[in-house]
Amino acid sequence: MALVERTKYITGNLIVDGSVRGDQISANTVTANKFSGAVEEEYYAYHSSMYINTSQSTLFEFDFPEPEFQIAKGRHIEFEVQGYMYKSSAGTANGLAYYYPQVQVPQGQTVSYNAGIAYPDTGAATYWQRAYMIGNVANKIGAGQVYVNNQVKTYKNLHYKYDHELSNLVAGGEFVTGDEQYWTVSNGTLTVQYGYGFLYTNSTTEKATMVSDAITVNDGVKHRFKLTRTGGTASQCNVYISTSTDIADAISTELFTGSATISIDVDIPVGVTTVYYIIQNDSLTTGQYIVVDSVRLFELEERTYLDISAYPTNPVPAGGALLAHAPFGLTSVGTWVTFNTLQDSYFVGSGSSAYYRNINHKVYLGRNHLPLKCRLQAKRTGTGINGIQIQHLQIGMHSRIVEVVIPPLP
Amino acid sequence: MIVIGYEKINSEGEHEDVIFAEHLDPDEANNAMQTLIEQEAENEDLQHFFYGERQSPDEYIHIGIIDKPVLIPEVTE
Repeated sequence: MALVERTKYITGNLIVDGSVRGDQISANTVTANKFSGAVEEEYYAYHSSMYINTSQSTLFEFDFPEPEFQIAKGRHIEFEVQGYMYKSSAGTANGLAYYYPQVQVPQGQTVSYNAGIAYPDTGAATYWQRAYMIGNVANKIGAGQVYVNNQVKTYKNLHYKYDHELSNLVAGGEFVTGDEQYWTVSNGTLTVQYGYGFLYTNSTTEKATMVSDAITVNDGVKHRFKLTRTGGTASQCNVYISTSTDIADAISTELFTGSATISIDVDIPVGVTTVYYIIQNDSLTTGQYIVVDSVRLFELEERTYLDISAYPTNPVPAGGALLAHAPFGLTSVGTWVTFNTLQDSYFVGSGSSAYYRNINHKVYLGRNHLPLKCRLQAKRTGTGINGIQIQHLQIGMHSRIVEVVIPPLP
Repeated sequence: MIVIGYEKINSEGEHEDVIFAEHLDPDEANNAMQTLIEQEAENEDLQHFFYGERQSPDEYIHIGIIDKPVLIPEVTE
């Protein structure tokens, strides 16, 4: 009978009894999806029957516990406010309520968390500078400010984009005069006219095929292939991305009829560093042709963008700079930092005495490992009202492990 | 640009910002805040101190506030 080795597991007991120690685990090998237990933590706070004043004042104060084992986690605070505006006069009344979720700058802490290297980009409005970081680091930046180049700045337009196209890698794909030289043609003829490539069939047994020069790519990385077919007499156009000049080695195939613009994202297999663009006229009728243009290939780069407040000068230098999330903006200890002020409007009709509202609000504080003193302040404005009462204020505090690996300096 | 100031209630009973200083350097801004707190600690019209960030020559936003200090009355015998 063959011997079968049983699968081995590391259990919590081995950690408790010291069989497995932290120094036996390689850095960056333990991922969030391998954890169980305190990957996520949820805490709750509740208050009721408060009144919102006309001057900004505190409705409720509470502490957000530090994450277990002081592991830096992405942290959310969620508010649910149920309240009503009331009046005793006969006419209508309307007003605004302002809610100020606040966190106090902790004692003895310079709180900023590196997100990545920011590089300047274009397209932002006046007094704003667009910047990007390579990779998806959007969950490393929460509410508040960012710290870059020794400046603390507010930001907006934070978003992740998975498919920024780097420079085009195909030579001769625009079909300007002389671009025939970049293509190897068999069973047909490639002519360049009017900025297009015309691929004619001259064989009734083999399909006319044009093969690009070798294109160097980075393996294991997503790339995008594009091509526009603008016409021709042949019905079908075949496009292959191949690891050799033979379509038998294709890693991506697109067969289509008529005019079309195709855009295909392909994961280049690990170990493949050279690919060929192969375009085929599917017709076996001599003289039939396809017209192609804008044959391009791009490596795709994940990026995280944000627009940074840039008055009086742009904070991100041309060569890039480390950007960190600074939720408290490096204000002094004891400051109550306001995150994401929320406004809500109330209207009480002449035939009513009260107007009920139920609103939700969420603040993402970014990653940190600290116990936080929090509070919700509010104020009201308006005419004809007697007041705004909060019937229920429910607060959820959520901490969750997020990926913490920072891209290396270029 | 970090804006340092305080919010007060003016003679018409309206809330009004008073800007004390503006600094690019965070340390200088924090020093200015300490100076302001010492200077205005007994201002009865003061609601709270604030940090702001200037986003154009004409506008700034509030980032955070420091509560008005609670003054402990002197005990006289």
